Amino acid sequence: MRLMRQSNKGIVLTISAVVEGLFFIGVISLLFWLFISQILEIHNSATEANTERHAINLANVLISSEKLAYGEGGTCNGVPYTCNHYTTSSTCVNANCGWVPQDQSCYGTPYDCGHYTSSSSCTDAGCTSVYEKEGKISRGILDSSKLDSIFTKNSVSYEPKDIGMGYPNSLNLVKVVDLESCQDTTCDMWMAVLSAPTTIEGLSVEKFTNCMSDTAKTDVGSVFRSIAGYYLGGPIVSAVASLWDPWDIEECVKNAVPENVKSFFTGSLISSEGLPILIRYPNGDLHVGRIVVGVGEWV
Amino acid sequence: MKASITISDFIGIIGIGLMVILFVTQIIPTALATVINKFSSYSAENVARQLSNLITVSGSATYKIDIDYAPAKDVVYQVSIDSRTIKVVPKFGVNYADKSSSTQYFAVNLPSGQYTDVNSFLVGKSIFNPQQIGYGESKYAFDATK
Repeated sequence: MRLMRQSNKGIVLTISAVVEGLFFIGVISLLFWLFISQILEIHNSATEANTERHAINLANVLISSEKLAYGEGGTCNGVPYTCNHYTTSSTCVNANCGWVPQDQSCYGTPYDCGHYTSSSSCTDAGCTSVYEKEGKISRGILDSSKLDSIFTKNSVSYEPKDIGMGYPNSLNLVKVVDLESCQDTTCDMWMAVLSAPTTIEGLSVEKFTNCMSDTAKTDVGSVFRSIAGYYLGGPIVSAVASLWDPWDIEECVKNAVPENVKSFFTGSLISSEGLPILIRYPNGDLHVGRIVVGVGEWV
Repeated sequence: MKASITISDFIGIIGIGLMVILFVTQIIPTALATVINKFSSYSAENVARQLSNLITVSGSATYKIDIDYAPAKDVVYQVSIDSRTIKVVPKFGVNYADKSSSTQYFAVNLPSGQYTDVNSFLVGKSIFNPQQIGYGESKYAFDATK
């Protein structure tokens, strides 16, 4: 009887020890889960919108940049032109204005000095109101002539343009669409790929190269594509044409590029994406448009 | 000897259980969140991310702008800038935390530089030569002090 009681006590103690152990394991697991979930939540909230934020930031910088935005400064026959810094006519008549904004007024009276390029026709016009002063430019109003000089209009070019803006180790795509020029499904559009520094440690195109290596062709047709490619574009084009079909390359680009950049490859017209802008043409016309920026980091 | 549980034992076990549940579900998450929030606001990733964004968005100013940013009083950082990349290494009291550096990108040209033991940052943009031909040129500046 005594032996049986001792045996029961041992079982109770064993079970109690097991239950206690399980309880502590549960508590520690719960604490670990809480810690990990908190860390993950912070990490996710910090990183998930990173590329999207980069795109928005870059778009904001672009529409404020003197490289793209409209500003009423200029030169007067090659001489630095400071007339636009003055607000009274008396200080302006002697400034030898070679080019002044078209839509100005001289003490309330509209004048069209902007249509002339000689100083003689301009000296009597006077400058009353100015928009640009000490380098200020019109944020959100893009100059079509600047767009023409930097971007490619109505065609696609992936030659990188260096305008001092763009994220490093990234694909920086910029598209400016004139929404008032749209006819049927086509609109006037400027597009550019902005160049930026690339560092070896930040460059990771593994996904892209893996995709390209997976889709490389070694069939008989590749020989004919190679010959055609050589005559059309030289040895590099020949190699590309022989190994990959165009749709393979497009697929690999899509796979390697984040979501916010993919719309550039789909050819879709965007009216709800990007930031709203105005596009100013040389004749003074202002068109409503959009600037869409896609940033895809090679990470 | 008879193994039995009295009412006081039962109440004690229930009380301890309730306290453990309260501790695990309320007090620990709150304390953990406070610690993590404080640590994350001082962390290298947060500071590097904030600085890179501030440098980029300073370009949104059309003329000039100065932005002050001081994330922490007690923590200092080692900051290096090169090729539109900023790297931040915090100096905490514990060794393992010092190893948590962060590298972030920004989108404008900024002169290269290195700053040691700093925790107050100044990001600026101005127009260089606004009176010259054209519209002048945007120039960006960065400085850090303790």
